[in-house]
Amino acid sequence: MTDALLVESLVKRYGTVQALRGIDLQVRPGEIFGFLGPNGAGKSTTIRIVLDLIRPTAGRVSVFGVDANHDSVRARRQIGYLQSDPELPPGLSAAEVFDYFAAVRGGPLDRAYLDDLIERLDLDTSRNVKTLSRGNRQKVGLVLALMFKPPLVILDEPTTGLDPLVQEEVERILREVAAEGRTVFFSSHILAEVETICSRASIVRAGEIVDVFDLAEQRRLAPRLVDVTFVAPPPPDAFATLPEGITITSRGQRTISFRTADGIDWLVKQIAQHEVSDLSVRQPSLEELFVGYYRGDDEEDA
Amino acid sequence: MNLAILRRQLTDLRWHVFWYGIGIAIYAAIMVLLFPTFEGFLTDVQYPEQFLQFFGSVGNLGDPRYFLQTEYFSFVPVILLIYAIMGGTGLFAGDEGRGTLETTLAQPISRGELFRSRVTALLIGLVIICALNTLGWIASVPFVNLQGLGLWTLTWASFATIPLVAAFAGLSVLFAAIAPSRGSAGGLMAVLAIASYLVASFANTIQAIHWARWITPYFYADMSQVLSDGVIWWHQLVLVGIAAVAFVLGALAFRAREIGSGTWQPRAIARGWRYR
Repeated sequence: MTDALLVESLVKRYGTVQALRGIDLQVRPGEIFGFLGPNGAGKSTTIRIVLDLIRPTAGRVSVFGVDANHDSVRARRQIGYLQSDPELPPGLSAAEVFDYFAAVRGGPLDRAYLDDLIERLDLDTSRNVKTLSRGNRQKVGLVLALMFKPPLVILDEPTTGLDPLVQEEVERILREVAAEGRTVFFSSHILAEVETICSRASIVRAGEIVDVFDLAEQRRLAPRLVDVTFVAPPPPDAFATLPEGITITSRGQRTISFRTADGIDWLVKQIAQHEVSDLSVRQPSLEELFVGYYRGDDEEDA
Repeated sequence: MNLAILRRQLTDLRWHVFWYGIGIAIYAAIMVLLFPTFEGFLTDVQYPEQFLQFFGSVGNLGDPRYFLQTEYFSFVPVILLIYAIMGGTGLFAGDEGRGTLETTLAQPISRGELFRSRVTALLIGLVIICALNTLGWIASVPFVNLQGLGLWTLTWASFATIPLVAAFAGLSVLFAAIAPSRGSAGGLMAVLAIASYLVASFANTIQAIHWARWITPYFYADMSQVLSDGVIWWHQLVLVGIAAVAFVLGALAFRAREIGSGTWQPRAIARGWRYR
């Protein structure tokens, strides 16, 4: 099956500044793919090359097999795009913006779907877009990206400026888009957002992909974090020797936190030898799993 | 050509075009209506020859042809150049600066199509301004004895400014396509327009730089003789040629432009043929 988005060895230089250092991405049809990275990592640059707004120094991008730079009109016909902090034609209401781009783009428009999106995002389409708040402009941009039912939806920081209820609705809409077999590619620097809705994600840092991971697999293999509060402080020699795969991440007077990749059965039995007042077992968040990448970035920035 | 973009651009330009057209129509009407007041006085006054040459006029200002050439047709192109520069640099660079160009170019339309649609709107706006100018002649010429100078001649002369303004519009679009921002392109074009006007004017008066008038677009506009002798056809062709070349180079530069990069991109002109 042809990839929804294929990015091969993408390099972008601005003079002596190398914004992208050989990005490779493969996004499959029907998946929600997260493109994670701190600000300035190269997410928007990659997306802008996909949209042919800027041209790569080297490398190739294709959208459903169509070269995104040499046959860009055909490639963009497959794409709905939300830019980070969308800017809309001034002097128009949101409804006029939708009509205008429908006319520019040509082709059929599913009015019922458009109305449904407007209603679900609770968008007032009568107001001039110039007077809209950041969040409402974001909603207009989202509708614009989705209204033509494109096979590939590219969203650059889609939930920025949206209140939590609308964010949840956006997540529901994106899941529905993927359920229809369409593809969502979205960039974010918010790990929790990617964790919630993406099936796969990649991390970009300083213009390079540092990891691509399957989130379901990642969750399955992820270590468990066990936080225990004892009624009385356990003896100092308790948990002094631990089998391989279990580590103590913090120890207080009555509390101990463990990290276990394997051996949860052994740990539970050991804990049960003491009187426990509280116990929690959880998987680490993506943030905890991948904070290392960011820390590395912070160190470079520093 | 994308008709939706053409319509949108014309809608965006509508008040700009309307007030420009009405403004110069009022100016035209005032000049015509003022002529009888000054006619006798101007017939007797002997202006220094250099003064008249500076404005390109060499005849008696008591003649309505020379009067309007000096008082109206010498200045109107300058006013229209502001439209050309503002419109030409704002056509894409203004949109790019606001971030709205990215939204438009994310749609499945080629840059060439966007370019053609918007440039067509800009030129239609220019024609409408000249048409609105005619209202000024209609409102004044029937009430004044212009010694045989008729409405048709004045209307035709107004439209004769189009090649000059189109040339500057083309250059504005070209500079905007290679400049980092609308401000840079607009500033550069303003300098070019003022320098061109001054060189053309001084070259008429100072013999040592008489040759310099050949390198200024103003010289080819023939505004100093548009009523008395008419325009020279090949002069107009030179201006049309400048406009055509500037628009073609502007289109090539825009096709290859790195949107939002905020840098000078003169090499985009050479790369433009690779893109649609």
